[in-house]
Amino acid sequence: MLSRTDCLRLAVLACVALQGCKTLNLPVDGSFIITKETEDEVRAVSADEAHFTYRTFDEESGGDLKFWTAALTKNLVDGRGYVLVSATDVKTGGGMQGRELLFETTVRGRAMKYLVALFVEKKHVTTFPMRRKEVSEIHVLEYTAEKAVFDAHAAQVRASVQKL
Amino acid sequence: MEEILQIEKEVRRLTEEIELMRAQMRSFEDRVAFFTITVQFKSNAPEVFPAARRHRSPFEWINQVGAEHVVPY
Repeated sequence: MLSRTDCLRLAVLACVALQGCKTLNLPVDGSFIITKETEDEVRAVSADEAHFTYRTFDEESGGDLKFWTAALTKNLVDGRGYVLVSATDVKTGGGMQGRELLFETTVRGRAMKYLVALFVEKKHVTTFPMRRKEVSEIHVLEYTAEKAVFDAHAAQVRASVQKL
Repeated sequence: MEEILQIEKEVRRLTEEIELMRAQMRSFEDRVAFFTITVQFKSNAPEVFPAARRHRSPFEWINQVGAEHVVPY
């Protein structure tokens, strides 16, 4: 027979376990199918080979949206030869402010368009020995396709961002 | 009589000049026939950076994002 304390411990453990198993949600319509779904990554692909992903990264060094947008843009443009086409503010359905960047690049000889939407959320984590620490959780939505295909799903992708 | 000689001399000179110009024309025609034209085409597409030339970001998550990481093949 379990004591009341044991039941409480089990309940807390169950909650923690369930929280750990929570997967990211990427709202897509019938034109995409989900090919991978974990707690920090969702990948989807369309029949015409447009790729849509949603990933989160914990960044212990902090940094806000402006900082990470600048760091990513510099690396893609100066370090990898991407061409920045546009940069606009975006907002999720939950009210999180973000930045959408649109690039052109080539991947294995194919001319591609690459859209990335960044959102930065501050969260507190507990580290050993029992210290509360603020980290940045960076939400990254990426959509890429060959130029001829890109526009066919761009509106759907942008609508998905607003549903997050 | 002197005038006739003068005319003949002028005709010879003009004939030589015409022959010289014809020879030059033939030479130019040959040059055009065997001329090599070099045309260089340059793509407007962004340059593809080989992996070795890519500048790695000090922030590891940035190195994991980008179109080349989204397209799995």
